Amino acid sequence: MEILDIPADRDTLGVRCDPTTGEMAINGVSYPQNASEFFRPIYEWLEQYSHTVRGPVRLNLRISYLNTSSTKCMFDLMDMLEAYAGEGAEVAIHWYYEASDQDMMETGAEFKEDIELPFELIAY
Amino acid sequence: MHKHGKESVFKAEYRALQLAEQVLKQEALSQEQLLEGYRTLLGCYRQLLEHMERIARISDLNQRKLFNSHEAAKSRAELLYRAATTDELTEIYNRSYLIDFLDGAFFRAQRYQQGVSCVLIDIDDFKQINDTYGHLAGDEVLAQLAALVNLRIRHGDVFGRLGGEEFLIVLPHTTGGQALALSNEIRASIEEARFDLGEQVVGVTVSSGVAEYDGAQLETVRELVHRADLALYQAKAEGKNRSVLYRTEAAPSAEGDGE
Repeated sequence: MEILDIPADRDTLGVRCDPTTGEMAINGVSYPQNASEFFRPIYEWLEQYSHTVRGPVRLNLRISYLNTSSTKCMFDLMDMLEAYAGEGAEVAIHWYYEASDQDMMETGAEFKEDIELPFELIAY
Repeated sequence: MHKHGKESVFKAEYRALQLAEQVLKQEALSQEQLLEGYRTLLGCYRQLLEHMERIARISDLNQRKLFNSHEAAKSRAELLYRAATTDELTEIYNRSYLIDFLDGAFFRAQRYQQGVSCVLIDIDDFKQINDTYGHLAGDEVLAQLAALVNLRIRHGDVFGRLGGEEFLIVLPHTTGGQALALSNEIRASIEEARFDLGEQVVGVTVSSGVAEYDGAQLETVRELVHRADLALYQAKAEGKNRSVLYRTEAAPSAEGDGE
């Protein structure tokens, strides 16, 4: 299984999913033209990983802006992880936010409240 | 199915809707099947509603963040613009803004055959103020004089500091005669004013050179400023505290009171 590597752009996230470590790192800002199209390879990677590698997943998010569609997609990704954890997999989410960024801290807290997975809010 | 179903971020929700529609279409439905379909749909609906509530809140947070950063960028841009166009000491326009504005005014005057005038103002014997009372006192005179002139100029005129003790007023749509009259009013009001330097109160006078562009005789804005400069030189030579209008045909004539 291959590494998924999407470089960050002016309005899209940088993504790096590594099947050897199970780390899914997503960074940057997200207001893509088409959010579901942007997120599709990430879903597909997780789908494949959860069926073939079946290892643990650590989702590391370092996001400074999410538009509404991307927020929905992020919920869907976390729902997938929740389902995967339901099958017995080890899954954890780390939400990194800039210490001065109250809005991103609260955004992380909203996700944390919704998702029943180990979820850490970490200021940097 | 929704027409954008394939691309929609609500793909899963549309699928649930489709499923519910299929259940309804079945002719003979047992109570059991109906309840099962209802429960499934209710589950989807509840989850979607909960998500939507959070999505709306997250969306509001992100909107606020975007708005705040936009506002911050705007006020930074305003600060930068102000710093780039303002003379720090006198808080009037600086040289670079004046030159830009004069360029634009001259260009419009040429293009639309309108007049534009400029008044070059120089404080008389400013070196003496600096030498006698110190440079801080000199700065104080510059600031107070700038504030005084700023009150006198008309709406639409642009007044700024060229540097040192030299100021410029650009007067669009204004003849040399009108500019000279305004220049004399300003000169007189400065002569009457008292400048409070803390320990002393002093008086100063200014000389000014006025030049006009009437839509025909000049090629460049540089020549216009040069003419104002020549007229100012003459005002100084004729004894200071006066305004002189540069005249093309004959020699420039003084129109100050000079006392």
